Amino acid sequence: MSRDDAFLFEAAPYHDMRAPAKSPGRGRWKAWLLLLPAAGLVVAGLLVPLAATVVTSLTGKGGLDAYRDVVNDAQVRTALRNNADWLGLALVVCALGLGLAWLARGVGPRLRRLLVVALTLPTVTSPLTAGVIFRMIFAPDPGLGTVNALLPEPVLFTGRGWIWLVLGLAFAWQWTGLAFLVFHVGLANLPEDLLRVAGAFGAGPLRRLRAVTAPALFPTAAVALLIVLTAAARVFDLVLVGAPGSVQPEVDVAGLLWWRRRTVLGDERAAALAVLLTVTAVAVALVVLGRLRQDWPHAERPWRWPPQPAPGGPRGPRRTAAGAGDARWPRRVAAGAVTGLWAFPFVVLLLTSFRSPDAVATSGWWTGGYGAGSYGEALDGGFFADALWATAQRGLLAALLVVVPAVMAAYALTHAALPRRARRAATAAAVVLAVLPPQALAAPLGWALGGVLGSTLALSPVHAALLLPLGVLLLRNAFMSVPRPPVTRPVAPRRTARRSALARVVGEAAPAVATVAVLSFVLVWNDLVVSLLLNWPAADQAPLTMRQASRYFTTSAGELAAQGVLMTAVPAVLLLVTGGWLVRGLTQGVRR
Amino acid sequence: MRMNRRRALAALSGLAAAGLTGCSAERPLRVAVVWSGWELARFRRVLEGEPVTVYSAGNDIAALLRKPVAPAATPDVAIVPQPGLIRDPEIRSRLQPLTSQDPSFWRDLVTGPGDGQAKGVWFKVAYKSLVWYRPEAVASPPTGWEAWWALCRDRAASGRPPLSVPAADGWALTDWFENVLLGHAPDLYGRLHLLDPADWGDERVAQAFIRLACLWSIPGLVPGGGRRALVTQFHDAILDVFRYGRADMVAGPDFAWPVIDRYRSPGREARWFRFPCSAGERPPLLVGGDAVVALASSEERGERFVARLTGGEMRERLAPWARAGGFLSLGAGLRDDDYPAPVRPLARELRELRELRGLAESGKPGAQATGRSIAFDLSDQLGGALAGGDGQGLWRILTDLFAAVAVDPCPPGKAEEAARTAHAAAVEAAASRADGS
Repeated sequence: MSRDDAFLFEAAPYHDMRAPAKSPGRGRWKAWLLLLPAAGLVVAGLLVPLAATVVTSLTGKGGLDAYRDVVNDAQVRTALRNNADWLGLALVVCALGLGLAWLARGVGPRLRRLLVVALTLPTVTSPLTAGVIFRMIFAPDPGLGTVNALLPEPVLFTGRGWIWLVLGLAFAWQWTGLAFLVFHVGLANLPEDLLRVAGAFGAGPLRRLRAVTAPALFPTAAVALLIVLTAAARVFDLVLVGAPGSVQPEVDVAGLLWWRRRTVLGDERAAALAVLLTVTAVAVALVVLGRLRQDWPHAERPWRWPPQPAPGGPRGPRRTAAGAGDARWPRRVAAGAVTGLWAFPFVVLLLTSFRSPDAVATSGWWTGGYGAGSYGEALDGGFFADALWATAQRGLLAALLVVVPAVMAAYALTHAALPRRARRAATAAAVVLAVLPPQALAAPLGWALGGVLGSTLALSPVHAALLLPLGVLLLRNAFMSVPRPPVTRPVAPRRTARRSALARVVGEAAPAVATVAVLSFVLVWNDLVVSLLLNWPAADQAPLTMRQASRYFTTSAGELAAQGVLMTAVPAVLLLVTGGWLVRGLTQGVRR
Repeated sequence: MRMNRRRALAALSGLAAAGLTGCSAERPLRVAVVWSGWELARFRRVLEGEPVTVYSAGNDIAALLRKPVAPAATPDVAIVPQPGLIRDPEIRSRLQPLTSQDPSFWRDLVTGPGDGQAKGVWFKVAYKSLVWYRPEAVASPPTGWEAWWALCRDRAASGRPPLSVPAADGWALTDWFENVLLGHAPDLYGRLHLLDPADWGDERVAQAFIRLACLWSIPGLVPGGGRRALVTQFHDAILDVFRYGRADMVAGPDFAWPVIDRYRSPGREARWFRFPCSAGERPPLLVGGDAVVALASSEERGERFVARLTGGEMRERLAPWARAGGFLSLGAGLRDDDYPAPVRPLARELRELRELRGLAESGKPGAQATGRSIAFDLSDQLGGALAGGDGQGLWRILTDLFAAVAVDPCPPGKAEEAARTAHAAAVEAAASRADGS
């Protein structure tokens, strides 16, 4: 980042990321061994199925015919165009996150705490639940939908055209928090000294923005972009549950179309569509990849949950100066409004879940009729509770299967004696693999898993393979921030030295390890796509059960709300308990 | 301390022994169904306490029956809503022949063309040629399609929306189409599932689309206009009529009853009339249903289970479902008074179709005895590019037709044009199947 600007090149602190001592032969072998479990999982779970899909797409009638057919299909073109729209929205969401992060800088600690919680909770809510909430809020009937109740003329928000607003808002509600969090940390860690130096050298505000602020923010922005763009490229459950059947063709996305039409399309064309979807996602990843080459993120200031201004930091005195409080009032009001706005969907969900199912079907949440009947309906027969338990088991096993190989691989990529080129290649591969859509793997995996499909043991590795690349990336960044002791080797005999070196790095980067574990669990817990594609024939996943209940939305809204609350409670508790670690793990990775 | 440990060990070994005996006992029978939500919960309640695992295979039931999957995933028994699957030679070879007491129309639906064996027994059937209405709004039910159309037009012109149409649910629109087509061209209807483009190209199919377009394009037909109807689901439409009184009638199968009964305003009565047909046509009787099959791999256990489920032994357990509505059976020991009053005649009518011959098979003569044309739901038998699902196949063609004629004011000429477009799309979809595989 600094090479573009001669003056910065002088001033920027230089991080040496290479291992201090080059170790010959044997050490390299061990580094390769450390990469092995992750590589095995990725090859078996991602690369081989992907290759099989590509081969399928090219066989059949021959050559690129399948691709030509697919691209000439009007429905496919609509879906791909919609995917592009979602990617555009992802950029808007990141910008919104940046704006809110800037807003949050000027408000007091208590309000900031509320703001952070309100913004980040939707991120761990399942897209299915988000779709349910927003479909409730925007119900076309003024007697049911909150927004329509406030309007003089009812608007058909779930109809053609308007549905984009509902889905877009739901997406923004979900993902702005993540961008906000990452930028919030990034802004707090702006290199103040550099800014001052630049000022002293006569750099104007624009040049400072171009030369210091933007480059300093980009590494953090890359994380946010990668995650939000991936979410946009993979959008599926939100559309599936958020839009009524008659508007599904209008809001169709490639992943959903693939799921609905794969049998009609036939093997080759379905494979071709899956490959196109993959290419879209990978193209997005490559844009971000250029920036990830930089060693991101590199934050040095200690972090607290919720984020607070660093005591005694350069801005500290300005904050506490008398009279500054008045100037901050507009910001406080705005921050309060944003907090309320983001918390509102949860309020609607919670209040709706505590009304009787009949009341929910026929009246708005503000009219009363409270009771626990919807929970009774949701838990009737014990099937949903069983599904929650099965989902939790799958999530735990998948988290374990992600963390262990990811820690070993990330250590190999940072502290072990792997050739520089190999590290770069592995990191680039991780970025590309992190965005692979499950649709590109489902058909071969389904064929290979055959008889064991549906069991926890069979599906957890699939989930793990899909999440592993992101885990490796996050851990790699964290491990890179762990400083190397000047002398590592001669202290103890070789083996113990190595083992303790790994243990030391993991200990230092514990927040990042915890983040990867929690993130993996939450993503598996909320997953609908892999369940729909591969869980067959035993539909024991909680999101699947919820989707089945959503067939007649109005009359099952109470039950859905109760299930949504139960589905959200687990990740929400995890987030609140591990919050501080998560923020550090996501943005900085290390303990200090 | 030592005692504790010993006791713990004893308890552990006891558990292990229990586990071992548990393993040696007969494993639960695996039953795959396509239902979800309310129906699935009801079915599980029927089988409560039985050594049976019920799971919903959703839309994958065809793949489940077709592909040889590993033993752990193969169901012993499956409940299938598409009789075409049971006639599919590839699937048939994996199914057991069953003893069926079903009326011949129903038995023919699950009997293979070659072997003459019934490989399915109907567990649950649906009566789909109904229009539910509020008697205080509609004094006397219309006598035919033209009278119905005139009633709707007059009602709409006076500012009272006569119908609620759940255009958000594709299956509800295909039921409309199938009822009209079955009344108009019963013999042709029986062949359409074979996807011959020549059959689909028949002018009588176009006429069915045009008839629908003429009714749906009546200005003010549905409460809130066509755009609102497109986001109205089946249950919403029932609430429109029987809860809020925003419309007078809703076309819907017998399983509308439990929803009506649960959500209707106090004291509001619900009645039905049969889906109307034009003068000179035989009234349509469109049916749907779920047949239970036993896979060959389940041996006699599967067969026993089917016999138990459909033979009357489970009457006590099925009766609550029947009483709640949404469950019609051809037998299963259920009596008329097990059903709620409004659907009682329907159950009787379906059962009395004993000696009728069906139309679902090509070339068979029409059902005559009750003077009605009986046929199985067409969209449940369609494959290829016409297969249903949100935004797919015939569902989408009819949704597009509804949107074209009901959203904006639509003169008759334009309605006919839209109907012709829909027809052309259907023919094209049928033809693409013919080229494709």
